[in-house]
Parts: sequence; structure tokens; C-alpha cells
Amino acid sequence: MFLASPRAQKFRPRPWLIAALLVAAAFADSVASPVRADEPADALAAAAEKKTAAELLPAGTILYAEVSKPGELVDALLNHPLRKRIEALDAYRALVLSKPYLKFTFGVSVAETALGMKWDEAVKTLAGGGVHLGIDAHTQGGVVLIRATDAQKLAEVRDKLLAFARGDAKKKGQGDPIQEIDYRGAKAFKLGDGYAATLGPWLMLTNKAETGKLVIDRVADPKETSLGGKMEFLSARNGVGEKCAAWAYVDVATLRSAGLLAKVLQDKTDNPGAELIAGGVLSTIGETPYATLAVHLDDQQLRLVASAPHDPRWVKKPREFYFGPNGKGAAPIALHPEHTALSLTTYRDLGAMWMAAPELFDEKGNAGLSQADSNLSTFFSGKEFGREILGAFAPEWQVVLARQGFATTSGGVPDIKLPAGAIVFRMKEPEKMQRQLKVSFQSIVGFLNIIGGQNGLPQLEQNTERLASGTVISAEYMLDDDAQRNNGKIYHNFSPTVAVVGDRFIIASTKQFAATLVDAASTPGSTGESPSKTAAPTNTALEIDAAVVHKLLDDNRAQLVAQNMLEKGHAKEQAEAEIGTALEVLSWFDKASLRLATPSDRVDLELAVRFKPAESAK
Amino acid sequence: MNLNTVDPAWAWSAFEPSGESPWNRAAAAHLFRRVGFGASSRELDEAVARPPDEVARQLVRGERASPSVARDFEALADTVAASNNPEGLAAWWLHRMLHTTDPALEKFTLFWHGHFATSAAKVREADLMLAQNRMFRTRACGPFEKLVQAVSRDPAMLLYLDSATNRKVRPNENYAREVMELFCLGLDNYTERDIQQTARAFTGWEVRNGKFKFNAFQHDTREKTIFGQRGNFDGDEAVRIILAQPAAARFIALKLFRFYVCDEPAPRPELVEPLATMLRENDFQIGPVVERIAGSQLFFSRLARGRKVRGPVDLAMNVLKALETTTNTKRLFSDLSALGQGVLYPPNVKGWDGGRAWLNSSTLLGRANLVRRLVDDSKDRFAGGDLAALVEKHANSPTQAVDWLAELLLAAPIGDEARNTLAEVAQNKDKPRGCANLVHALATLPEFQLG
Repeated sequence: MFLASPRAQKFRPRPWLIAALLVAAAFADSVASPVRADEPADALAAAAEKKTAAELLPAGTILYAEVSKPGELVDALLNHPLRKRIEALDAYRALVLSKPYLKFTFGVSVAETALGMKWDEAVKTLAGGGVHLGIDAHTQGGVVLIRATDAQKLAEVRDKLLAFARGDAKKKGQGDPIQEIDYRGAKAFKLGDGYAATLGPWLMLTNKAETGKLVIDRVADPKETSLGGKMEFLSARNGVGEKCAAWAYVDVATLRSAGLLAKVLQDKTDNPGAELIAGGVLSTIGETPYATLAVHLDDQQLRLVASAPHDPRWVKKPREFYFGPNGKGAAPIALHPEHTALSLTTYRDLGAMWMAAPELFDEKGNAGLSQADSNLSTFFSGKEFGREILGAFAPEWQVVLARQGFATTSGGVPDIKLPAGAIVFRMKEPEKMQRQLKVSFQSIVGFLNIIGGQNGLPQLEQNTERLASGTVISAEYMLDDDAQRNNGKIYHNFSPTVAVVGDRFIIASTKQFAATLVDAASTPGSTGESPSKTAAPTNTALEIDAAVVHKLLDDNRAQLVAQNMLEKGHAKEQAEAEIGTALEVLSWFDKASLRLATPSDRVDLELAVRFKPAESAK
Repeated sequence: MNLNTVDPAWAWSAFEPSGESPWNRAAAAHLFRRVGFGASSRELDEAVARPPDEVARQLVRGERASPSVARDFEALADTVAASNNPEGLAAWWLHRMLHTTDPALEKFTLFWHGHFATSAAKVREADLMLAQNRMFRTRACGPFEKLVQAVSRDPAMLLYLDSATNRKVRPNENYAREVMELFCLGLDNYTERDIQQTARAFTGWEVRNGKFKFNAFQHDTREKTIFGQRGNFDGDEAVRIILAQPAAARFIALKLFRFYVCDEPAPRPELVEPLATMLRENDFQIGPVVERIAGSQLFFSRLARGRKVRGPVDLAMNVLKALETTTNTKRLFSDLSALGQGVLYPPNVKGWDGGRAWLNSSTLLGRANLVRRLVDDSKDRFAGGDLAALVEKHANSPTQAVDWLAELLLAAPIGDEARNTLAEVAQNKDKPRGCANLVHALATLPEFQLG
């Protein structure tokens, strides 16, 4: 057991000093000062040198994370194309002149002086073999394991830092701030609330003595089981194909058995939205042994891939709406009209989900859906909304948002310019369904006219247009001659429209956008089966075009500035500068995407953010 | 001397600084608090360097107001109203109160908002509330008759009082009743018949698509008798007749007295009569009356200073103005609503009761908590920096900090014991914490509740 001395408790070191001292203390001469003759420190060091971080961590580790090449990561960050753009920002220039930043840089320079090297060089030397984190379930402690590349250099640093810390404490009339503790031949140091020890090239930092002992035990006794010896971990580790900047492993089975996931793994939920978004993934979490997260970073993009073993049989029948029968459901080919800001394509059988409501949702959720079913059937000729309406659509559908132009519209221009939006379904029986849906649209427009009339809104006028490839049924606001009052109103963003093209049924917020989608749906390549359906089915794909989002926000710059002024109390110039900076940062990005896929035996969730090359930014 | 014995001639004569009532920073702070929403230390220094009558006149008339700043506020209002969120509009108004270069005009606007109370909770349309707010601001200081006539056509008001459709076969008496009882005359100065006849004059005054519309087919063109006058009156003429009643000028003068001078006791009629006479003789112009009040002996006397219970808006604005604070006005609106004064959301057509009604055990705690929140919010800035830096700029010791803040924030002096206790509160190694604790401690004093 590590014990703290009262003398050590009096010392209140600064945070930078703690960090520097923990590093230095780790390289104190524990190796050369064994306490037990039968376990010489040299042997302990030699044993540790052969082990990986995972082999040093106990088998009960529930979270493991590593940055295997910190030096490379530092280089990648320092040399990243975004760095120059960040440094060119006015906000950055203001930051480097701010008091907190100057304080921070002073702290770094003091640490560098104490270490005798620049901070980036220190990272490469002291942590060149990787930085690893483990959280142990049994002791509920965390361990950081850092592997050095040059022990000799670090020994020198250690001596300097120890001398510095002790000298500093003495100057202040305080006692020795470092308490030395021996355990199985390893010398550990207690400083403040933290512990450090060295094991060959390894520096171990921990917040709990018991957790630190488990690590030392794995060096001293080869029979001790470790994370590195667990089949699940090895399987996950082997699955890391390409080089990644950081990687993490979570023991989901242990979390589950400890009851930590009970809240998210309830049998029934009251939230249909959450079920729609994450229901299938929750089935995976309910059975999978582990999950991993890999972080990839290069000049072009930042990519995070979360993976977990998956078996379609884990998904019970009521949740079949999510991944489809045998987990083979795939998102459709996306329509991608010009100025698309966001496109979401997915496989979700909405009709099946609605009908499985008694098994999926609790009493509150079912009550809500029953109420909605009853209300909605009014607009659908008394038909059951779940079975007869939602069930008439194929489970593959798309949501798409695009920037709209108002210059060409004959109506007013809204002050708040919203993107046009649409949802694109495929009808299972187009001939049978389209008449029903057209009539329902008429009912809804009539209803909107009654409500709108009561609230002083202009009325919607319905029109049907037959295009070469489809039919567009729109409802446009009839504007009176009071242009001054009407101009700027938010309803100018809308002209509710439905369109039918082949087996596609499109519900759009504007007539213009519906027509654009009809054109897009008629172009070659927009129909047929998703190419991903056979290989690794993409269940859901979300793509955001940063350039279009930038334009959308720029269209509403005055609104954003106003919100900033009211929420932060800024003057107009200050608010404009802040919004300008935010838009400038957004212009550095090209696209962001989120993809949920089900390769043969696992579920992958991949988030990617692509950077725009410097010359094409803005 | 008290309100029952004070000589009206002396009361409304121009303020002459004296040993008992000097023109100093405390007196200037009182002027800025009552006529506006408070002042920074720099503004007080500037004010005491000039004669009090000049400061009061410039403040009431808005002679130092910047037209370009006003235009920016108007553009911002249009942008905020576009989202049709009245709460956002309320936040905009608080933002304007805080950063305006014409604080007296915003105070006038707040006064008329309370007088002609209209709640966005019922109106729901941000652009209608904005139009009414602009109308109050435009007509704030001018002839009261024009203001009442504009209010009578105001869509937000007509919607609020269910007068959006006032038909000749069934006149809606709501608006006519409020015009007499709450807006122009006060209780017991009219008869039920006057209300019924006035309601007929307003028939056909409707709201269509958010705009006032006169529907000639629904207007009762028959003869009406209002306060003994007979004729085919319309709404405008009805307002003219109502304001010609002797009670009208007294009613408005008393309301202005209560708003700018003191909550209680009720002044005797002779004290208010000179103000009423001034109204009658000057076409019911409001600005000159307020200017006379703000430059009077009575206004700067102990009969007026610290004799009002501050409403939540006054209280918060005083702290923010005095400490040169920039803050989240959306959150401020929410806090003020919790304390009972959500602007644009008065509780009923009578507006806020004011006075002692602002205080109870719950609101006392809430008012102190609001101040604590304002000084603790890490995003708030005080003169562009942190609170401790602002206080240190003006005070070299905890005692000086107490004196400096008390002068800015309190209308009534505090005793030595409280001063020493506050100095101890300010004494903290963590200076930002010490300053925040001091402002919070000030906010818990009974004196802090007075304006």
C-alpha cells in the first residue's frame, strides 16, 4: 500500500510542476535500487521492456486508449495545413496576446527549461514509444503508461526536475514534496494525489495506488492475466487494419454486466425518435463483447471509426425495421441536386416500426403513437397510418436539404432564409398509392388554410404541373397587395409540394425544390439497387457539404449577428467579427459524413470530416 | 417636511443645490436612475461637472442621443422580429435599454408599456409588439391625445383587449372601459353610459391581417352622448372628449408623479395640480412635465430619493449600467420574468402594480440571486474586462470599493456597521471573488431594493 506522509500533504505544487515532476520521478533510479534481493530492479526493468502496454494492464481493464506514435501526431498537428489558417485568424492573434495564453506559454517555457529541451522534443523523447490509458473496473482507477525511447536522456531530466522541485519547496520553507514508496522492487513516488513509477522504459502514472500495484504485479509475475492476453482484445487489436493516430477499446460485456448500460438497454423506450435513430445499434450494444474507436488524421481529413462485433440474429423481430431482414437492408442511392447542404439516406422500415410499437415502446410512447395514428388517419381517408400509409412505402428513403435561391421567386423574400427540404420515398405500389397520397395532400393543404386563416396567414393555392418525367402538385401562398407587411415573413420559405416520379413520392418544402428533385430522379443512375447492398451494406449515410452550409449561414448573417448581440451582449462590430471568424473556420472544411454500415460480422459507424485544400478555401 | 406639508410652489421650482441637498455624484446617480436606468462612474463624473438643470434637460430631451445608434437598434429589431419570437424581441428591448444613448426615452417607453399594458402572451405576433413598442417610443414625450389615439388603432392593443372586431350591433366595451379607467381618467370619473357610448364610437375599428382597418359598414354612425357632449363621434373624437375632462390631466400627472417621484404616500391634490395644469396648458405634452419633475427641488429632496421600490428591470439595469456590463439579455429576460417583470409580458391590462408589490420573501431572494448571477457569469464583461479590474480602477481598498459601489447602486445611504461588514466581505485574497461577493452582499441590503 502506498502511504502519504503528512509532510508531503502540505506541499501544493503548481500543475505544470506536478506534470514535470511526475515525468522526472518516473525515471528516478528505481531500477538501480531494488528492495528485494530476489526481484532485482534490473530484472524488473528487463521484463517490463518486453511487454506491451496492454500486457501491463490488468484483464479487468474496461477502457483502453492509445496514441502509439505521439511524436508523429505532434508533427502531424504542427505541420497540418490548417495550422497556418488558424494562425492567420484575427481571433488567434488576439488569443496569443491574451493574459491566459501568455501565462500558458510562460508555464511551457519554465517546463522546457526544467526539462532541458523543447516541449515537442520532450514528447518524442519521453513518450516516443506511445501513450496509453487504461481504466480498471475492479480498482476503479486509471493508469497512464508512457513508453520512453531514450532512458538516459530522461534520467538526466529526472535529476534536474527532482532537484528543482526539492529546491523550490525548500526555498518556500516546505518539506520534501516527493514521497518515495517501494513495491515488489519498483520504486514509486507520490506527489499530491497522484502516483508515478518506472518500470524499465515505462513511466506509469495513476490516481490509485491499488491500480498501480496491478501494473507492477504484471511485470513481476508473468502468470498474472492481462488485457493483452484476452481473446476479445486480441481480436479487436488484430482488426485495426490501417495505421491510426489513436485507438481505443471498450469492454462492453463488462460494462453491461456491471449494469452501467441498463438505462440505454431498456426493453422499451418512450422515445420513438431515439428508437428510429439508434434502435438497431442498441441491439448490438446489448450483445456485443466489445467496441473500438480508431482515429485517423492526415492533411486531407479527420476520420473516426467506431466498430463493434455484430450478428444480425442479435436484432429481435420488432427491431427488424432497422437493419432489415438478416441485416441486409441498405440505404438507397441518394439524389444529389445542386446546392445540397445535407443528404441523409437510410434503410428504416417506418411502417414495420409503427406496427411493432407495442413491443418497442412503453405505455407513454404507445399512447403518443396511437394519438398520432388517430389524428393522421383524418388526412388519409380513415386509413391506418402505420400499416396502410407508412407500410405502403419501401424502407429505403432519403432526406435532403438544399440552399434555395429567392431571387427568382415571384413572392417575397424571407428575412430568415431556410434551406429547402424534402423527403423522398419509394412506393411499393405506385399506381394504387399515388391517388391516395394526392388526395391526402389536398386535405392537409385545406387544413393549413383554415389554421392559417385564423392566424392571419395568406392562403395556399393548389396547382398541378405535369413535367416530362413526373407530376408536381404544389401549394403556393396567395400574396395580397400589402407587400410591405408580407415581405420578410418566414412563410416565404415554403410552398408545400408533393411530386410523383416513377415509383418515387417526394414531399418537399418548396415547389422549386420538388421540381429539381424530379429532374434529379429522372437522370440515369439515380434508380436501381444501391451498390452497397451486396458488399458491406450501408444502412445510413449522412453527408453535409460545408460550402453550402457556409452559404446558408452567410444568407442569415444578420440573424446570426443579432443572436450574438443579444446572447453575448456584444456590440455590432464585435458580433460581426465573431460570426465572421466562425464562418471563416467553416470555410476550411469540405464535407462531413457519417456512415453506419454492417459488414459481415460487425457494425461500423464512421465519421469523417474532410478539409478543404488551402487554395480553394472560402 | 413631508408630502402632506410640502409647498407645491417650492416643490416644482428649479432645483437649487444646497448644503442639505448638494449637486454631487449621489444626486446625479439618483437623476440617472429615475429618468434612465442608472449611470457609470464616468457618466456621474461628467454630470457633476455641469449644472444640474442642464444635465436633467439634456437627459430628458435626449439631446445626447445618437441617431445612428438608434437606427442600428431599429435594424436589429427588424432582424429579431423576423423569427416571430416575442421573447427574442423582449431581449432586444433589454439590449436597447442597456446600450441606448437615450436612456430617458427607453424609460418613457417602459412607462407607456406599463400604462397601456399589452402582453405578447396573447398577441403572439412579434411584429405587432414591435410596432407598438415603436409607437410608444415615437410618441412618448409628445401630446398624450395623439398617443391615446394611436393606441386606439394599435393592432396589438386591439387584439389584447378583444376589440379586433367591434360591431355596431354589439359594441365591445372592453377598450372603452380601459380608456377611461386605466388610460385616461381613473375610477369614479365616468359613468357606465359614458363607456357604452364611447364603445359605439369605436365600432368598426378592426384588425385585419395584422393591420388596423376602419370598417365603415360596422361603424355606428348614430348620435352618441359622451360626458354630456352629443354628436356622431368616432374614436378619435371620443378620446378628445375624454381628455377634456378635468380628471384626465390630474390622472396622468399623478401617474407621472408615482413613476418619477415616489410610490407612497399618495400626494395631496394640491401638490400634483401644478403638473396637471401644465399638461392642460401645453396640449398634454408629456416631455416638458417630466423635465420639470426631473429638475425640481422635490425630485432631489429626501422626499423623493430612495422613496421608490425598484422594479426588477430598474434593479437589473442599474447594476448593469453602473458596472458597464455586457450580458446575455435573453437570459436576463428570463430572470426578470421570474421576478415578475418580463417586458412585453405584463400580467394583465392594469400592468405591473409596482411599489411594495415587487417585494416578498421569494422575490427578495430572487433579486439577490439575479445580481449574483450577473456578476458570476463568466461571459459577462465589465467595462470590457472583469469586475475586479473595474473595481480596482476606482477603489484602492475594500472600504473604497464599498463606497464606490454604494454610490453607484444604492439610492439610500448605509450605516457604518453595514459598511464595515461589506468591507469585510470584499476582503478576499481571490479578488474577483471578493468583488462578486461584495456586489452580491450589497444586493441583499434593504437599501438596495429602493431606487
